[in-house]
Amino acid sequence: MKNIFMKKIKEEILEYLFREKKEKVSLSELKSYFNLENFDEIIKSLEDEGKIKLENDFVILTDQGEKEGEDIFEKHEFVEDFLKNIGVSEDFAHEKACEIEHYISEDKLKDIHPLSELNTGEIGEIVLIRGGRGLIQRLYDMGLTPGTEIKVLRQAPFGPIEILLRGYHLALGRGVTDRIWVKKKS
Amino acid sequence: MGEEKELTIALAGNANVGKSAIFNQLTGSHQIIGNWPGKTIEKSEGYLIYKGYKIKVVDLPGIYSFSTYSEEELISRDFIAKEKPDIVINVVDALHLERNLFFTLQLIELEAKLVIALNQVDLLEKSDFTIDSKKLENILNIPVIPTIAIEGKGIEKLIEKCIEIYEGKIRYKPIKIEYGKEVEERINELFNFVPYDNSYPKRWFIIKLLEGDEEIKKLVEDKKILEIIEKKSKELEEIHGEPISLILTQEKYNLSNKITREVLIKKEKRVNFSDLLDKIFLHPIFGYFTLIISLFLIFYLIFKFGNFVSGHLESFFELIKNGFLKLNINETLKKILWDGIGEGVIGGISIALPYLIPFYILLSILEDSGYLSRMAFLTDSFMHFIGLHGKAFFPLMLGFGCNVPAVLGSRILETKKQKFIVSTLATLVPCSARTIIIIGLVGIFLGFKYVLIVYIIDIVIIILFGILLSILVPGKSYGLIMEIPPLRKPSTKIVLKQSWFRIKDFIYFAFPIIVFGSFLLQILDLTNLLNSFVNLISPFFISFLGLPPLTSIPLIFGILRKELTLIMLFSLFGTTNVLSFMTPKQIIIYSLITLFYFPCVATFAVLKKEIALLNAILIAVFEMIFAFLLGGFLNLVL
Repeated sequence: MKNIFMKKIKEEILEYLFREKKEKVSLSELKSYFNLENFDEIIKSLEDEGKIKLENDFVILTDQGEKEGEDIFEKHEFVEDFLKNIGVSEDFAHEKACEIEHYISEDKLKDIHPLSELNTGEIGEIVLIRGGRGLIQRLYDMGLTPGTEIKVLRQAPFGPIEILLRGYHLALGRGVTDRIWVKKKS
Repeated sequence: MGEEKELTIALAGNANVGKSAIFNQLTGSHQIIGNWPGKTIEKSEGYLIYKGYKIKVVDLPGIYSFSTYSEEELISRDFIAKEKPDIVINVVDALHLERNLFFTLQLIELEAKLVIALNQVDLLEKSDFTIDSKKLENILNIPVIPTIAIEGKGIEKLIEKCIEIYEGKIRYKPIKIEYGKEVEERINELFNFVPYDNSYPKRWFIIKLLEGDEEIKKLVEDKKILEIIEKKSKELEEIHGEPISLILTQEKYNLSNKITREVLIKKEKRVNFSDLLDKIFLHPIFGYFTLIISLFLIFYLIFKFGNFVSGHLESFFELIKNGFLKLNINETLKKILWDGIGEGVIGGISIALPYLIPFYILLSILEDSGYLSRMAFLTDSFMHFIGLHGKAFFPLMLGFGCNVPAVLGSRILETKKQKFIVSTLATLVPCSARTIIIIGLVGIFLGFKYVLIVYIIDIVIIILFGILLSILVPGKSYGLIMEIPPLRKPSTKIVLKQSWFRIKDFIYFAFPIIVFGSFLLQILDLTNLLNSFVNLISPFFISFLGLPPLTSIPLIFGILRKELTLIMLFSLFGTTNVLSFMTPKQIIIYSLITLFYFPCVATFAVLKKEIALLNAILIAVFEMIFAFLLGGFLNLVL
């Protein structure tokens, strides 16, 4: 039990530091934000694991720490979006995402990407679409419903991508492909 | 003649499936057709007399669904549900059956009496699958007629089927669309409960209420009843974890997928030329290369061909002029006839047509082949700088022909902001009239290099205006969602026909204005009214713009048709050798002013329609100030 708790707290701290990456976070700030009894112990342990380092009382992420923080951050975003997407209120989605993010295993999430990250020739199955009701309905109407298989045919530099779905070719702009999450198929 | 029975048939279907082509075949009209989605923006009507029937045919804009709230979708949905055409011909693109069937299912739900035109079956033969149309007919229990619209094949059979259904010779009882038990239960519960006194089909009305459709909800006045409906859709949302409209969309897509799999028969793999060509046309590097080369070639060809023909025509008219001037009639009358009417006609023929004809032929080839859609795809990222996306390329490209359809075409964009930006920018695109000025003035007297420079200046200004507007205009911009139709060999017949109808517009509409304008000018000249006006305005023209004051006259008439700014220049100065009264610098300044100073009256009229009068005036005034400031600036620096 204690281990799970420790893991969660450490991940929370890394995620927080990742979010606040642009601002320098001081040790005392971090301490008052998390308000934990064994705070010093946890910081020490993170330092030993090589995920953070202390510089003049500022807490700085190492490369490894940053990677882990980003990872957790992405999981959080994904879960939060997913929850919002199925109609859960914003606050509740955020709260739940904070819990769930620690329990998602790498393998499960590994294959799920925004469509914009797929390479030419790759095939994915739509998992969910983020965005306003209007955009989602429009994409559904064009046949981009969950479970639909799509193949990336072409990518214009910085620009739109061309996909094949339901036997026809569709061009989608960058802003749109960022919002479509797919499960990559091999 | 006996009494004709009347019948209304509507054409409905996805974008770019051949509705307008079928419409043209049925009615002999000349709706613009071409291989890109979004051409038909308003419904159009035509008539056909067939076997004792007077048939009204209505061509509806192409849409993918009735569920989102674009203007075209509302037009189509209200026409079918409220005006209840006797028969709806659902045009289905045989190459993209699954997505098209999704729309068919929505039409069935809307309880339209359908006949399906399975179009482009000729292209199907060249693809690597085929469709069992009899089986499709059996599954849907709706007549399915294979057609090749552009060749007129299957059209007569189509209309015969419509009449058979209308006369009740075929029992019409299409497939029922049923959803999951939890959805059906709630539909049934509401069926007898919700007050219903409108022309929408009742089941469809209930479904739309459950989906929370804003337009339909307005029809229910009782707030309590709306609350109960809302509660039921909330329940469904909780069961599925998704809004109900999305669930029903999914279910319809699942059904269309199932039907498609049953009727589609795979053949051996064929070489797909469209895909092969796209390897070049849409290539991240070669694609842009091809795009720039083809645009350059288009204008170069128009320039070369136009100059060649125009030159020959002019020497021909010179002969006629000499002959006419030798005639023994009243000198004043001779002057009015020749400078007024003669010069106008000659200007119209020898300047406008040699450039217009090749332009419209090349534009039609771009449209009909489907290359235009590739251009839109490639320019998407660029369009984002000006708050737009790839689809905006269609109206802007049409603007090179004429700004009027370009402004109207702004409707294919999704948001108000994007429509506003496109219709404003469309008024700045060098239309064929402006091209005539650029080529006929800058090109002939200064050379092709300067033509390019003027074009580039115009395009840079469009971009700057676009950036400005995308910052200033409030509202949202959506990203690109656009179908890319397969490439096909452009049909000579369609290209020629299309070009002819567009040129005909010029001959019937613009030509009289040009001739009349020249005529009016001569009358004004004789009455000395011109002189007093020119004297009034000359300080501004001489000192600020550095132009001969007389050039203010064509600029005024140019508000009617921009060609007049060139043609009148010739008749005012009595010579076609512009260098004899203007320096190269003045030519550049004058032609740039004509490009921007006012959208012509026709463009202004549609602009008013699309973005409201006040905005249209604002834009026109802004462009006018801009044009003269640009002229003044160039006068200083050049």
